[in-house]
Amino acid sequence: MANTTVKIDPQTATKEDLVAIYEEYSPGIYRYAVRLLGDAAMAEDCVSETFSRFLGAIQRGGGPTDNIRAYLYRVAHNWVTDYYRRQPLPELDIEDHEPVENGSNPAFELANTMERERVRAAILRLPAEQQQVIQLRFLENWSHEEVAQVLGKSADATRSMQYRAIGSLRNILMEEESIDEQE
Amino acid sequence: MNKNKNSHEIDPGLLEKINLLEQTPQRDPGLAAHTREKFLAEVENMPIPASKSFSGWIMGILGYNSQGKRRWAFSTLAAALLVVVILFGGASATAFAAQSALPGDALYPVKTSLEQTQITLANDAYNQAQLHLRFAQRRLDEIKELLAQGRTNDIQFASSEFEHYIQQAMQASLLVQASDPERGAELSKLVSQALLDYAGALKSVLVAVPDPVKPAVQNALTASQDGAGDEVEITGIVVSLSDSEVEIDGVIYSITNLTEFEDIVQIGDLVKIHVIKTEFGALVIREIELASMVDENANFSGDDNSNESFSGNGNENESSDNGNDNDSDDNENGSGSNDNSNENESDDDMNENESNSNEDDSDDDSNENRNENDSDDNSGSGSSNSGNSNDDNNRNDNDSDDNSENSNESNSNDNDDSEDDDDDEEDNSNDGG
Repeated sequence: MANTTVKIDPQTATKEDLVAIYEEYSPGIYRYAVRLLGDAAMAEDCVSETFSRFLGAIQRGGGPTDNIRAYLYRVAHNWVTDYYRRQPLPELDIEDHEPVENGSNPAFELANTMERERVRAAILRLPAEQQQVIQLRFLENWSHEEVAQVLGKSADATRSMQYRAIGSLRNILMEEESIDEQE
Repeated sequence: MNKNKNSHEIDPGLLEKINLLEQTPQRDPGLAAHTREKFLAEVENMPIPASKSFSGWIMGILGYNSQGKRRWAFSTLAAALLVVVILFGGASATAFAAQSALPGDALYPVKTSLEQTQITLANDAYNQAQLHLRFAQRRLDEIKELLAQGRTNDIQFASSEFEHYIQQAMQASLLVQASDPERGAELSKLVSQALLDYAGALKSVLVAVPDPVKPAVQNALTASQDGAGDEVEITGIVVSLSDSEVEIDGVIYSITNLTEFEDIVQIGDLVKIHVIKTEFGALVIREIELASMVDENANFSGDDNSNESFSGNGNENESSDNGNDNDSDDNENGSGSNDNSNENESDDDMNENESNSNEDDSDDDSNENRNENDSDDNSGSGSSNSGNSNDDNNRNDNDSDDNSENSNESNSNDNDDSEDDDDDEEDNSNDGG
C-alpha cells in the first residue's frame, strides 16, 4: 500500500481535516475489520467506534502524534480483540476445504467459502499482534516499517513476529490435514 | 493471485489460503453512509474550528494558540479590530464569498457550517426538509461547477453530501407525516419531485464525469431515483386546471411549485405529463408539456394560474428549479402584480413556504456572526439578528446560483477513489502501489 499518511496534526486539526482523515482511512479500516469479523454490520460498528475513539482521544489532548493510519489500525484491532473477548471465536473447522480457482461451480464456491471461514477462524486464534502482522503484511501489503508503527515495535521485531505468526498459522491450519495428504 | 510484494516471505500454499480473505464483500452503501453520518455528527459537535483558513484565522486574531488557550495580552485589541471588521461588512462579505465556495475551497467549510446552522435554527422538520432539499440542490450545482472547472477530485465529497441531504429530507418527510399527515403528504410530494429533478440532472452529469468519481455520482443518482419512486408518462386532455391541480382525462394530478411547465397549458390542450406517485398515493406532475403544437401565447388569461411559475420555469434549465425558483418567485411577488393569488389554498401554502425559506436565507447574516462567536469560545450562544439585508442576500444567492449553472460541460481526469468503490478495486490498487 502506498504510504499515504495524511499530513495533519490531530491536535490542531480542523473539522475539515478530520473529515478528510475519515474519507482517507475509513474504507481500509472497514476492509480490515470485515476480514476479521466476517460481518458487515459488525465491521461498520468497528469503523464507527474506531473513529469515535480517535475523536475522543483528540478532544482529551491525546491521539496520534505522527502516524494517524497506524493509530487507527491499532484502535480498530483492539476493538476486534475486545469483541472476541466477549464473544466466542468462530469455530475452527477441522476439515480442509481445498480452495479452488474456478469458483463457478456452486460446490467449489461452497468449498471456498468454508475454507475462507476456516482461515479466518485460524487467524483469530493467533495472538493479537500476530493477527495484525498477517493481515497488514499479506492482505494489505504493508512494509515491515509500516506494520512496526502500528505495533509500536521495531521493524526487526515485526519480522520475527511475522515468522512466528506464519509458523503458528501453518500449524493451526495444516496440522489436521497433514494426517491425510499434503499438497 | 499472488501480486503480493511480501509474498516471498511466506510459502505459497499458506499465502493462497490467506488470500482467500483478500476479497471482502462489497460494503453496503447504506450502512457505510450511516457510519459516515455518525462520524460527521460527532465531528460537528467537537469544539474545534471548521477550517483553518477561516476560523483558524479568526482564532489567531483573537489570540488563541493551537491548544485553544487564549493569550490574553493580544486579544482585547484584536477583538476590537474584529468588531470594526464586522461593522464594516467583513463578515457579510465573507458569508457572501462563502456562498459560491466549492468543496476544496478555503471558504467552503464556512458555507457548510452556515447551512448546518440554518438547519439547526429551522423551527420544525417541515422547514428542515426544505432546507435539506435546497442544500442538496447546492451540492448538485457544486458538482456541475467542479466538473466545469475540472476539479473532479472534489466531486465525490459533494456527491456524498448530496446523498446525505436527500436522505435527511426523506427522513424529515417521514417525521412530518407521522405528526401531521396533511403537511406530510405535501412535503412528500415536494421531496419526490425534487428527487426526480435531481435524478434527471445527475443523469446528464454522469456521462461527463471521469471514471474514478463515477461510482460516487452513480450512488447519488441511484439514491435520488430510489427516493423519488417511479415516474410514468401520461398523455391526455386537460379538463380543468388550477394552481394546485390539473385534471387530465378525469384524473386529478397535483401541481407543486417544482412542477416544470415546458409550455403554457390551457383547458382543452392535449398534454404530456411526467407523473410521480408519492408514497402517499398522490399523483404529482414533475413536468408538463403540450403533446401537440398549439399557439404559444405569451399572455394568458388571469383565470389559468398564477403566473410566476410559468414564466420562471420557462427560462430555467431542467436541473435548477429548487432554490432558485423560490427566490425568483419571491422577487416577482415583491415587484409584480399578483392577480389571483388567493384562488386556492395550496398555492398559499406554497407561498408561505417560499417566504420561509427566504427568511432562512436572511439568516445568513446572523449565522455568520454566530459562526464567529463559535470560533470565539465554541459556545454557540448569542446570535445577533441582522435581518435588514434580505434582498441583497437573495440577489446574491441568485447570482451565484446562476453562475454555477451556466458553465456545465467540461471534463478532466483526476483520480479519486470512491468510498463506495468495491473492495476488489481497492485491493488491486493497493497491490500495485
